[in-house]
Amino acid sequence: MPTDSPFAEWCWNLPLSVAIRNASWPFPVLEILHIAGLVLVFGTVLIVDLRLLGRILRSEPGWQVSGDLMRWAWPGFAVQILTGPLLFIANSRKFYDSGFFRTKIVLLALAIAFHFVIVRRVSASVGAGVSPWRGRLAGSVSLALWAAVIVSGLSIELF
Amino acid sequence: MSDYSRVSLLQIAQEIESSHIGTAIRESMWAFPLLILVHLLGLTVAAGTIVYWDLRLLGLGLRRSAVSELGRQLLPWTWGGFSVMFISGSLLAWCEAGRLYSNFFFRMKMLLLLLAGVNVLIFHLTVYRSVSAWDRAPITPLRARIAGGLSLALWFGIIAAGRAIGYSLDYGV
Repeated sequence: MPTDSPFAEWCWNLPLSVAIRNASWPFPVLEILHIAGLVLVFGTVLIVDLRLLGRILRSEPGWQVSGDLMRWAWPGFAVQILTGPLLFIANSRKFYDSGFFRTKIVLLALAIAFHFVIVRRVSASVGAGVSPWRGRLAGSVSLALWAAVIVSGLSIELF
Repeated sequence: MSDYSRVSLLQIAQEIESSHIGTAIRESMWAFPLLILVHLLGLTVAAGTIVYWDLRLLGLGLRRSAVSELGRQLLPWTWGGFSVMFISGSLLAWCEAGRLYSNFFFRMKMLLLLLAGVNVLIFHLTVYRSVSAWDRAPITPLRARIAGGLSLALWFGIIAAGRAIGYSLDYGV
C-alpha cells in the first residue's frame, strides 16, 4: 500500500530497491549481514560497558579495553550503515510508518551520541581496579540504550 | 512386532509439534515473535562475546589481555547468552518440530552447532592445555588461530542458517 510520504515512495521506487524486492535472496542476505554486523557492534558495546560497570577485566584500564575493541566496532558499524539503508529502501512503505522503526532511529542516535560524548570520556578515565560511580552509571545507561535499539529494531519485522 | 519398533524420529517430531505446548506457542499471537526476540537477544550476548574471544585467539583483537584471563571473564556471559538461546530455541523448535525435521537449513544449523561444539572441545583438550606458555603472546600458536577462525566461520554459518529457517518455513518473519 502506498504511503502519504513522497520520501517513502521515492525510496520504494528506486531501481535498487526494486531490484532487492524482485529476487528472493537479496533481502535475507542483507538481513543476515545486518545481524552479523550487530554482533560485532554489540559485542564491543557489551564488553566496554561491562568493564565500565566493573564486572569484567578489572585488572585492565578502561581506555585499553575500549581502545582495543573499537578497532572492530568500526567495520561492524560500516556493515550496518551499508545494509541498514538498503533494508529500509526495499521496505520503505512498511518501515516509514512503523513506530518501532522510528523509535529505533531515535534511540540509535541517542546511543551513538551517548557513546561518543560520555562513554569514551569515562572509559578514558577509568583506570585499573574498580570503576568509580560515573563508570557504573555510564555503563548502565549505555547498555540500556543499545538493548532498546536492538529490541525496537527486531520488533519492526516481528510484531 | 509391535509398532513401537517402527516409530521414526519424524513421528516423534510430529508428535512434539502437536503437543499442548507446541500448539499453544504456535497459536499465540505474542509467544512466537517474543521467543524469536529473546532468541536473538541471547544471540547478541553469546555471539558478541564469542567473536571477541575468537579475535583474541586469532591475534587480531584485545592483544594486550591475557588469553586465560579474557576467557575466564567472558565465559560466564557467553554461557548466559547461550542458555537463553538454548531454552528459547528449544521452545521455538518444539512448535515446528514436524516441519523442521526435514528442513534443510534446520539440519544445517544443528550440524554447524555440533561442529562448533567439537571445535571448542578439541581446542580445550589440545592447545589450550599449554595456555600458560602463550597467555600474553600477541600472536597465538597456529592451532589456537585455527580454532578461532573456525569458530568465527561456524557462528556466521549458524546465524545465516537460522535466518534462512524462517524464510523457508514462511513464518512471515
